[in-house]
Amino acid sequence: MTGVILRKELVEFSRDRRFLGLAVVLMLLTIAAAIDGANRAASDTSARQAAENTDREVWVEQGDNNPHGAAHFARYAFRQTPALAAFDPGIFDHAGAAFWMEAHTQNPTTLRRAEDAATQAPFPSMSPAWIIQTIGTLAIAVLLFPALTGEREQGTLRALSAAGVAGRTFAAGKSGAVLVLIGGILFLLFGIVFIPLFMTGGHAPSSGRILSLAALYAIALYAFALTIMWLSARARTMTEAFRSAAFFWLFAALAWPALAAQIAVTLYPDIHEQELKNEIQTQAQTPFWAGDAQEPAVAALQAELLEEFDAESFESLGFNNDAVVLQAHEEFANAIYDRIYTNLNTIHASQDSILRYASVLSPILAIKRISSGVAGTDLLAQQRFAVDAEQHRRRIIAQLNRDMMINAGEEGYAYMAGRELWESILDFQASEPSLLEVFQFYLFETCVLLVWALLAGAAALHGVRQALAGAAR
Amino acid sequence: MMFRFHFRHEWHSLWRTPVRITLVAAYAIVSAWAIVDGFQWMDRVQEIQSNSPADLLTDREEWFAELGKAENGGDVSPYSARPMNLTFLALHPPGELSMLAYRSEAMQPRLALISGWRSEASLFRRYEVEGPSSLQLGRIDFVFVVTVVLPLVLLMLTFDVLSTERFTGRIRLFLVQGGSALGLLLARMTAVLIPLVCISVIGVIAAFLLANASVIHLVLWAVVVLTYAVFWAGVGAMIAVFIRQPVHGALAVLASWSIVVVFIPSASQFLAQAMHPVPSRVSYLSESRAAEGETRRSLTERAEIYMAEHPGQGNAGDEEVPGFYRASYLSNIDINAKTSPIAAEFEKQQEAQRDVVNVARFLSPTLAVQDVMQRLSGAGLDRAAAFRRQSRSHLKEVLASIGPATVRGARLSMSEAKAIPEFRFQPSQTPFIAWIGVVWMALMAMLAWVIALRQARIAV
Repeated sequence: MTGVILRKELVEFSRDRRFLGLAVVLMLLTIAAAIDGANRAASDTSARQAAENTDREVWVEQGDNNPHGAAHFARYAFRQTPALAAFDPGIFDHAGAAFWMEAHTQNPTTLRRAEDAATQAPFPSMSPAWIIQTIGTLAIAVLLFPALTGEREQGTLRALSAAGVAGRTFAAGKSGAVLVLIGGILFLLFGIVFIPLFMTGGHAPSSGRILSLAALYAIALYAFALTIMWLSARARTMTEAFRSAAFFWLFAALAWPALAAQIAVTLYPDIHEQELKNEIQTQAQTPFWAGDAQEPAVAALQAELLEEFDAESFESLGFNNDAVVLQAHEEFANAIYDRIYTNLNTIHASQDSILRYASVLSPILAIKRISSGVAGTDLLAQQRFAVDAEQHRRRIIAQLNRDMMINAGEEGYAYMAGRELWESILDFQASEPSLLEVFQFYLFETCVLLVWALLAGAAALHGVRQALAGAAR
Repeated sequence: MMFRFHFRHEWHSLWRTPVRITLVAAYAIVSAWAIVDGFQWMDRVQEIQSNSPADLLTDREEWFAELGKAENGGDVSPYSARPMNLTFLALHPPGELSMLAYRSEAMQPRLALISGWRSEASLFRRYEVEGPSSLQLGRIDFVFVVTVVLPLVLLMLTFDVLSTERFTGRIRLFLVQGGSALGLLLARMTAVLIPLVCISVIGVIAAFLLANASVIHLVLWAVVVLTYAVFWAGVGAMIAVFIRQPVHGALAVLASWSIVVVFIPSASQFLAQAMHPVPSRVSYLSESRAAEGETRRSLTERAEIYMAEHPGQGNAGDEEVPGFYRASYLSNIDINAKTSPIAAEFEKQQEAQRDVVNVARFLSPTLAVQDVMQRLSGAGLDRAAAFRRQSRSHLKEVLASIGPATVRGARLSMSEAKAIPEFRFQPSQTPFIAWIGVVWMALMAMLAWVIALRQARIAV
């Protein structure tokens, strides 16, 4: 009997003009967004690759220079474009693409792509993920709101009840059809999205990530669809069913994510850039260069050097003291930067955590967050890039200071190093969070999705039984 | 008479239905929240702008005193009164009503320090400290509330003003008893429209009073809000008279809101960016780094070329002047020259993107209204772009004025130094196309109402 109901539902879907219309609209939108996403990702990747090459060339070809002068000119670290940014840009366009690894100062990441926008829309620009999350769920709401009220208004529910169809069987047939429907839509959309991505020849996404995304979207859409079915079962009329389905979609897909972001920024306001600059100046620069922090920091570093080189006195080493002072400042300032940037990252993480807990009320917000995590376009990946780049900055500056310390002697700032030193500076290698780390980070949202699916399933089953029982009365 | 009766009835029923009260109250709360948040944002910007980089700015009085001393042959440090030390503050002040439209302001530069140490590429280099998660989802400002939430609430409250009566057959009884569908439609729409427009206009008036803004802006804001609300009421009226079944009416409401507010704006932005992609910022940075590296490698030669291009300018050089003044200056003008094709391409593509969206505003009044409201408020991307343009232009002027003296290792004369103007931001005027969009919307609103009223009179 379940099979019969399932087949009947699928036949009805295929004959429903709304279904066909929505499927065509969804496909066309996804094709456009997928091609655009793949092009954007490819051009981003090539721009960043070209920038890396130029940066290396400019660095190596800088000619003779004092290592500290070179440390001021410094190098840039560029964030690689994740392969799945074409599918879900997440926060990628709203986060810095580059990190300046200059001496003395830890900088935040810079060059947000979103700043290039010449025009503004109330909602974000379209990406394949946004289309599935927003338009796809709207399509589900429109298709499924009459799932039970329609049967009731047409009288088929009463007939089914009279025929002795069990609530569980009926619900299994209905939800099975929904599952097949969602599976089909996702298969089609994912196919559309990933074909151009593989064709453009960039670094292809891993199959583990694609499968994870497919599974997560299936759970999210299924939870959403079953919620609509439950609302349909509860409604007395088609109008009521539509109102509640539309309201749920508006709330879950558009209103709640925007409100949650507003709450996040109200509770954890962003600091102003000038505040960060002031903090850096007053805590990491002035106390060392104009205060009394220099002497103990230099003494501590000299003591370390004596131990490392097994020497009696610093003078006996013949090292350049200016370079020791420079490195002592780096070590003094690094501890301050760790604190300042931990505070800044805590603000961002707190804002992010509001969105995390807000996902309890919306399976769409939950999938938005996990989707960008799996795509590598979320805050976790961005902060990883910033941390890696900062560690690399510290290594580079220490290497340059050490060269000056050992080789400059009396020459000090007049000492010039050459190509050999520049070539010995390693290029930045970024790491990205593994899929396991992503799931650990988004464990809460994943649980939220599963709980939504389970509760929505139970509620839909209960609703269908109630509706059948009601029809029998 | 009939209208008054229906209106009174609808007005009372609006305040007796919990769902309707909740929707109106939610609209009022979100409006108030957005305005209060906007004021907090504005206070913060003003506070930071008034306190900020005093330490980085040149003390003019001292600088000119040193220059006068140097001109009179007095003993001054080789670092004093150098043209490279002359720094100008470029401020992008928030517009008088920008607390209503601050949604995209977090990412825009609000100040720049203009001096010979800056190139166009580094002029707006700022610490990007805003949380990316919340930036991506955006803030809810009052413009967002009016353009997105107002039509939704309005449509949700009005989509079944006639269809329920028609579906249940009560309309026949009503008409037989001498009732007028036209009067009923007008009364029900007006009863919903009044509280929503009042809340919006009160919000604008409150902001106007607190910000001490100009009356003309208040009036224009209120007119645009009213026109937009009337447009959406017209859409609601069309749906009410043409669609007989409540469920189809609801579907039409959702579809029209989604298309006009969500789909067309997002799709037009998407199309504009796909058709006219701007050059990557990363490429811009890369070009500027290459230019800087090249200049630094051939500094002596570059300085000779520069002086050959500026013969007879600048007084005698000073051997004690630090070399990095000249090096930085030359790097910066070379960066500007090398990156100017990218900057020009960027401007051109942005203009082309705006043209695409300008066409789309005739399909989506939301875009037209959002643009006009942002301009009236003194906020938005165009204003930020104007600030960037003016700052760059001022930087060019400063660089041209201090160039020969800096490269020669000399100082400016007193008259040359005084001839360099301070930066003054000039906000751009609202362009004609922005108002055409609003007029077009008003025409569409009128058309929708004419059709709806005619249909209500003859067909219901």
